Amino acid sequence: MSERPRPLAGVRVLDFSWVWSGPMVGAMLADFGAEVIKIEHGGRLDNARLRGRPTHAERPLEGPSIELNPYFHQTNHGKLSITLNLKDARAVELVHRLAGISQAVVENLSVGALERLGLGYRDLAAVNPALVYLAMSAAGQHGPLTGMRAYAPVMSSLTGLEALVGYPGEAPVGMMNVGYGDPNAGAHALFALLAALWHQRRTGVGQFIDFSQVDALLAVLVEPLLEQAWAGRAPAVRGNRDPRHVPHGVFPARGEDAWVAISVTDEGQWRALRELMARDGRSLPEAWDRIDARLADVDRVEQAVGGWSRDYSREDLAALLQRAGVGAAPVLSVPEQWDHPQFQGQGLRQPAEHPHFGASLHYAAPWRMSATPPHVHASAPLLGADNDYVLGELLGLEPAQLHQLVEDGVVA
Amino acid sequence: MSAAAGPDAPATALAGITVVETGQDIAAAYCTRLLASQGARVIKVEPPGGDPLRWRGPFPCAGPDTAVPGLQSYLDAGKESIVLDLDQPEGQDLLHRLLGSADLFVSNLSLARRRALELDADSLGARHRALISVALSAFGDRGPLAGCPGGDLEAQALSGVCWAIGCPGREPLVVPYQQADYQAGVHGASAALVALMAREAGAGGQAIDIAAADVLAAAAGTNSLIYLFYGVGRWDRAGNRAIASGGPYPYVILPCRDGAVCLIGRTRRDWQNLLAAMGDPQWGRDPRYQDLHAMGRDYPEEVDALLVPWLKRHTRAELHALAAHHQFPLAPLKTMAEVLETPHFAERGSFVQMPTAGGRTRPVPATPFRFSTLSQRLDAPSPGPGAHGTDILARDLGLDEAVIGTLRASGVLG
Repeated sequence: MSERPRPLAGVRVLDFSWVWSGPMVGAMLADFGAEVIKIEHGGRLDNARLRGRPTHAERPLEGPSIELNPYFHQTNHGKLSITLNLKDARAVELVHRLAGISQAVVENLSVGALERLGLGYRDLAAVNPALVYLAMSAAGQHGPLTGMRAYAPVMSSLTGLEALVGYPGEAPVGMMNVGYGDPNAGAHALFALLAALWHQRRTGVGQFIDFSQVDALLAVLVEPLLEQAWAGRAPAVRGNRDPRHVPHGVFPARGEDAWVAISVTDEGQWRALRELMARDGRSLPEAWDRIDARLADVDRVEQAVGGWSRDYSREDLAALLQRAGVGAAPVLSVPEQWDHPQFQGQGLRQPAEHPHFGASLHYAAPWRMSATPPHVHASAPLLGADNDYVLGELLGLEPAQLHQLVEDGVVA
Repeated sequence: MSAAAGPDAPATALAGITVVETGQDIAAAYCTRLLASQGARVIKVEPPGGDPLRWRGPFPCAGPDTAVPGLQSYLDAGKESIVLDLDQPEGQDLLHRLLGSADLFVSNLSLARRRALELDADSLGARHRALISVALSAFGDRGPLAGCPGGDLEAQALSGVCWAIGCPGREPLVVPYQQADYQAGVHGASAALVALMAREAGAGGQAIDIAAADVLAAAAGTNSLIYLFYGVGRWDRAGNRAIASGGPYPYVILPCRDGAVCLIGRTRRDWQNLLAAMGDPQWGRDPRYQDLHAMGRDYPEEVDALLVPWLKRHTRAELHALAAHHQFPLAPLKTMAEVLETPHFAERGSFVQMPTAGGRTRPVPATPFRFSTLSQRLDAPSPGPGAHGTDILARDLGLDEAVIGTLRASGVLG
């Protein structure tokens, strides 16, 4: 059996981060062979462990509730866990020693939190000048908003995103249900970390990365920002519309809460759609063959398409349109996503066994790579499961020393 | 001409990496914008007439630079441009010759188009063994929807994220302004860096295939786990709040005097602080309005109705100040005009001034991170269409003036 390629083998990461945006960075690194050590403390746990006891098929799951959270498993899969009481100088010393044999640190705690413990960049770079230290704060290390709590809706409200989500011409509805800021921040932070690691591997030079999660939203909200900043126009609430294409939206299919996304992006596609509708006895004005006419009459075009789409099931409509060369896809809920063939067979979700939760599927880094694909090699760690390995084997502590540290509440 | 690193130039992370890009619209351009911002040399191959992205705007409303397109300027900042007619064999050949000495090739052209140009993974793997190719698309190059029509809208639809946004009973909404395309781009950039590290370690080139639907599916799937397994049957859309308030009340957008605010209370203290800010109303003592989980799950609209009259007496700025003073999480829903005026962003340098034309500059977002020692290329201008064509053919491919002239005359070089 050939050895699985691990492009990040030899990269050891100390992970202080909590919840989603930070932990996802470490999990993706672990998918490529990095050794990611989550530094936890029994007295102050990652919120993602503290969501209470989950139920499955209406039965509460058995086992310690801090070990049973699927959200925690997903965002921390593939990692090791050690427990250290960072208020104790001996724990801080141990982290310094770990920093000496690590390549990167990831944290998304409030600004100054780790510094106050003697675990800031300057402290750890003094031990290991090659260290790459990624600090993912809500709004950066300096400035009036540094105290901001990095809740996703707070970040998306302050960057103008919430105000842009809604139905055309109506007051914003927002997207409180979806934490877009987190995965967006994680994706951009991972890029910054990898760029710095690339440089580190070639030069031995370390780096402090001052990463702002709200700035990561600005980076992708560039179009509405520039509409205001360059063109002097307040960007519109578009709904599902695109100012270049009609129809471009989500239309009702047969049945309850059944929807299909449809986008016609050139004249050939329009003719194909018009043909399909004509076959069902719904003829459309010839004037609509021109995009500017459709743009001027978008409400009516959408009504016409929506009246027709209702006659089909989601799947049939999407397939029919796809075959005719028109962009279309059913709107799926997450459980439906899990079963859809698009997401099978490409390694997007991979199995891992958890001692209490059992078998489950975790999202790997969502990248298909021909030579070095991502690999979910484990679920999330049990709290402190790797104290012996990390402190004993990696740092060389004797069992008696380790025992004493546990007794003294340093390893806790 | 890109600001190539001389011996005294400040170090950038990706100096020395060469990227060739050919694509359309957003995903490939954003991917390589990130690489260019870190000092990679990005050669953008545009079709005759230039990338249609150049016609999208937004265009400045007044000034000497009203012909300069905003989005394209940001996405192509710091790149070199060559216009090649890839439908002519000589054009294809020139692109392949450029690939011969490139590290990365990024494209979001359709699978059919890439196959026709021998730019698909199999063709590239055979011809350019050390090359790392990054294909970006809605559904990926493999699987039941490979090569099928559809873009950002359809990728979001399949992923599960669209299902969760909007009002119950009405059509679900996507995350607006093509967010799936940007996510494909940033993930593609990271995947490219992992592949570079792998190549350095002896893995050779490889084909990376980013499906925007997969990227969004991972995000939606992870997000849903916050709700599933905790008494919320499905992560359904719930209008202006998270479903079942995601736990304790409030987690909601509510109107105020001059717009809307989002309120997020996660603890009993948050709620008590909010009530204190409201002057401790009588109803706050009713046990019905102390059971935060019941409020959040079973009767949130009832509680909204108790808050809205008070909220409507205050502006967003007043509420933001009250929230800071009383310590409960609240954020105003800002307009883009307000975002641009936020003092914090000015202090941090979240926007940089990009040269446009006629001596003007215009603000564009910088990157979201700052390094302690590495430099970034944040305000490099974007190229005119084909601005570097002659230079690239002469210096990179060693073609002489006469040959270049012929290529131009025949329309192979634009």
